[in-house]
Amino acid sequence: MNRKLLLLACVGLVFSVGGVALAQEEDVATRAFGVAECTYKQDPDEFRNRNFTVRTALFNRLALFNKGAGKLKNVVPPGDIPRQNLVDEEIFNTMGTVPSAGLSNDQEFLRRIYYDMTGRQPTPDQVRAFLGNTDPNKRNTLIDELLNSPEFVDRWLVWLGDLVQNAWVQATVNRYAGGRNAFHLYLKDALVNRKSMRDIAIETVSNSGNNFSNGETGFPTGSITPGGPIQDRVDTALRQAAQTWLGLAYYDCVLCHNGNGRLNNLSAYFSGVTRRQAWEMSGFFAHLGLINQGVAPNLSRNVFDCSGPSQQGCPPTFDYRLNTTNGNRPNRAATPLDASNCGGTTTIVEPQYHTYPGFEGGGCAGDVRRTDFANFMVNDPMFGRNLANRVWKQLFGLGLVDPVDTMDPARLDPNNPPPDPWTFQATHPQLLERLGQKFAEQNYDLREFVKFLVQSSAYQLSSRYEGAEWQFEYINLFARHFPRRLEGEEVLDTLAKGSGAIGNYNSDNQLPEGPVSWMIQMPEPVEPRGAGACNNPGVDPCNTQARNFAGAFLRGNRDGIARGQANSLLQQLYLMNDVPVLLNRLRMNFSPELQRVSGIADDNEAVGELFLLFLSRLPDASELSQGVAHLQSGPRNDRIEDLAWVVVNKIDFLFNY
Amino acid sequence: MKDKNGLESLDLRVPFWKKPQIDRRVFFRHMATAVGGYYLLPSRPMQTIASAAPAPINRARNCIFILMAGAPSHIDTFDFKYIPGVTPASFNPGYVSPGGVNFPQGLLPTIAQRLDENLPIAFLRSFRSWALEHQFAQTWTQIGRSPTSPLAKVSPHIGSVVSRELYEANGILPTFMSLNTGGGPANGYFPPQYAPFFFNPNGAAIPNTSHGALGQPRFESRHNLLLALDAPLRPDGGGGPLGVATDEVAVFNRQARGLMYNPQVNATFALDPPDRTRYDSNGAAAGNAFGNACRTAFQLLNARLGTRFVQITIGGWDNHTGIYAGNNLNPAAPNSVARRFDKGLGELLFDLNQAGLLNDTLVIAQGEFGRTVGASGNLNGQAGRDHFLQQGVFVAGGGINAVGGRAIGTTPEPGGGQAPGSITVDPGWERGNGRVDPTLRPPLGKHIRNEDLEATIHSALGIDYTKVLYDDPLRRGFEYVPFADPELLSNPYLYGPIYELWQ
Repeated sequence: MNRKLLLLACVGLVFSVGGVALAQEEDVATRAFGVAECTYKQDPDEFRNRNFTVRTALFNRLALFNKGAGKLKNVVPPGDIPRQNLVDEEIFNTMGTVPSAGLSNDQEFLRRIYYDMTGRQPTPDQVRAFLGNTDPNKRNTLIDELLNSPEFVDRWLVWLGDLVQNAWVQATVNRYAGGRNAFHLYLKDALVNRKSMRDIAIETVSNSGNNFSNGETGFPTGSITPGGPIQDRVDTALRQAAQTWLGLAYYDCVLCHNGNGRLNNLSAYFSGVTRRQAWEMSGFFAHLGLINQGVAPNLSRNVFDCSGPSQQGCPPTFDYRLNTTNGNRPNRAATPLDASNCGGTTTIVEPQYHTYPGFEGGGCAGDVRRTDFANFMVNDPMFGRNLANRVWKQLFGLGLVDPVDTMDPARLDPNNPPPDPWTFQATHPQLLERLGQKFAEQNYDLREFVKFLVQSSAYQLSSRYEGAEWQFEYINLFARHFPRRLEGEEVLDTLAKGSGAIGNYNSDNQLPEGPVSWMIQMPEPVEPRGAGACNNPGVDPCNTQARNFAGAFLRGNRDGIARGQANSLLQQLYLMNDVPVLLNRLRMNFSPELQRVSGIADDNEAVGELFLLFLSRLPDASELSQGVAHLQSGPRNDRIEDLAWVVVNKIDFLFNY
Repeated sequence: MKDKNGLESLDLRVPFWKKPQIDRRVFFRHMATAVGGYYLLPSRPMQTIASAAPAPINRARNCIFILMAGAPSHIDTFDFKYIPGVTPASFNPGYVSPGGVNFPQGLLPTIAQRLDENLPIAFLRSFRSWALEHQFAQTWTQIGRSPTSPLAKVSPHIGSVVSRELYEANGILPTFMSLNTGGGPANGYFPPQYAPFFFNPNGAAIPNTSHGALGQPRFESRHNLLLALDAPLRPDGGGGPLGVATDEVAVFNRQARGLMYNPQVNATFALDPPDRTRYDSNGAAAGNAFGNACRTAFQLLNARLGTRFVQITIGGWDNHTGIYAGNNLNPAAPNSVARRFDKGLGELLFDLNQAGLLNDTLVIAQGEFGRTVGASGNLNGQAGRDHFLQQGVFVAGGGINAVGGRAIGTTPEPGGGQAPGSITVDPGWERGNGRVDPTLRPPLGKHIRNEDLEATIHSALGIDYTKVLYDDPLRRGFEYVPFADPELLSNPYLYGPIYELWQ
């Protein structure tokens, strides 16, 4: 089976960087194809600014400027923003004279922190209590309360599951429900018990056990790669570990071919990595053993470290051999040793953990290769930088390095500036470095780190930018908060919470806790799978309707389909017309909250309550007058239902601003 | 005042749905202009390779792609072999089509009738899959590249590439509709309007295009209030205070509103009882899922409301046991997967032909791989067939030259030294002949591959299959067809269209 075949193209290409001509590369493909046009070749400036597209996309998401219909000015000089911690020092000191959005008001902050911490909105009473609270420290108190709530686990378990890509069925591997569930419960337990992210990383990468009971071994189970020799699986294991825990997805490229000649405009570090050096990293997984146990659907895997050659479930030779002529990656054949190496021969690769400027901590493997890799990995500065960056992205909407798995070790260390013409990769290199170190100081406690970020003024800026013209360049400065569309789980759970018509979801193979009330508690985004009977009236008569509704908001599948922020026609059809999930929730007879609103005699209060339930704010004057007018225009209960529908179809319902 | 298209010019200050006397054409036109752009693309134009691209075949407007999920036995269908003592006599193995191909007329009689009517139908018999696992191979088939390849994680479905290329600014309906599919590869990293619209047709309107039991007047009242109350966040022409993503929401909302209570759209999805019955292998009044999907596909293309690529998925082909029994490949069971497939596809071809659409529509039917042929065409220990790389692919319409049936490529016949249907003998196309040398690296082999079929679909629809886009998230470059041959047949080691189908 051919996969990359020989890399398509980039053959015989000579790049000149900084005046130094780089050697032409010997390549099987060259002999077969002859010299061909390199498909990677394009405007170097565009490559160098490779996250330009991300920022352009983000720019296009933001207001160009407020059309100035008498809005309040809220921008301020960055010097006026209170510095809470090093995040603010770095962000606002870097901003210079560019105007910063002002701090969010209490209502903006309240709604935002609830969604970011728990995945759903506060209750009207909680809104009133917070807005009426005069304690100057109330924001920090609320942050602590939410961080220690069970809902925090629900919300961040989804983030963590996305990070490690825990799923039942994927294109290349099937963990079966048993494996998926065990992994899910491991992650949940880790979050509940505040396990250090470092320990999660070490355990997922190097533990042994059966993946139906030691859920963390669901991570190496994901390295199964059909259609090729065992070295393909070994390579996948490295790529997954490096991408997830170090932010280094480019290993996927250099496991097929040298970086030089192909990645010269993408990564300063990886353009200098040879395939041999990439194999030296994969070599740490050459003793990864996997044996199937049982039969589907109870097909689990025993994950272990091989102890010698010819062991079942292990590579036939007790090392990483360069002797493949088929499979998913180009042929592996003899290559000379690198100058720096841990031994081996032209056809046997001994593992060596990489180094780069500012990190000399790599080295050779000891007895248990996966354990050694895990230890190198969590002491690699890329570990802290990667996790800090990913959590930053989750909260700020844009990574300091974006896309988050394209990190370039040669361009991140503020003490080791990259060579000309490369520039620092992060928007704030000093900040990223200090955040990575901070996370390490906190022993990689996720809650502590999240707290650190959300306590900052930078996080608490408003998403409004009024009184000055927003420029494209301001994106990199984080001069405002970037609004994001709610996730599918959040949309559905907000409807459920606001209407009081709570869900009752179970995935096909129930987790020990049985059915759950909130979509965000599903073990993976394609759940709930099971149909059940779909012909009862009322709310969510079957699981798949709720799943389809939430799925329209692009939850992804932890495989070929990423979680997405795009809007669509389909989402609008669901929000306006879906009967079982939405319209029925907004019927008086199914909604305890609407019934309660019906009992509010004062029209202004009733309209206000609807806004509080679903939008966590009170209506402005225009909204209130129109709402009350509609309320008084017909049968009151019908009109309440109408207003509830209007409120959930408003644009500010759908966005976390 | 009428513009050059005979349409009334629009007064943009008044929402169009408040002018009841506006006719439908203006209605749709207004809506279409509002959704003509994608707001989130980078402002730079897309870059493509400036090499000399081969001229596309460019004979078809539409494509219907039928995914036979589970993988049908090729020697019982598209690469039919009569295995004495194994193949049921009811398949009528002696049948030869007017074009000279053998075909299981007894199992698939309606399609055989289309052959007898000299419709253009071809069978790719030198086709070979890359993988034997369902999920993996189905993904490969639909995205036209290995699921482990670079960018596979964000790769669009072939239909989404077609959608992006053939997108109609004035289209009402999604360019890419996927019927009875339920999930799988979608638009990848492409913008959302190129995503497949998943839909299970049963004659009713697209789901969620009516306001349930509450009805249209209640909906209109609600929606008018929404637009009034939310007006500050949805200014006409964009520029809302929360940004362009929210402006886009307003646009999609208008488009969604346009699909609701829309007689032209509803008519496209309504299934007349006579059609349901005709498309059903058992003459059932309600029809069956596949038959209804086939008729809906015809109506979508015939209505010309913007849809150009339709996928239909039909499962039930994974016959590891009792392949000629029950509801498997069993002519005596009218509800068998074979008979449902036969009636649905057969009638679809008839309707396309009669409406003059067949020449414009490339119809493809395939599974994700073939099924085992034993040593001599025999079954396995459970009277079934298992997974097998060699497979057959059905191609019809699109202007191909295949009057009354034509085979591209051959596999061994029964009674010879090799197992029947086991491997490509004669590739049947020139690029395949060039790939015969087994010492070639890369080992594409002489077989037709998924990537070749992908190139064929693009080229037939007038799309440059060698195009590479540079707007993917990794900025690596997304090739429409990986390893595509940039010059016509100059490099037989790469993928390219099967031009022979049109020669």
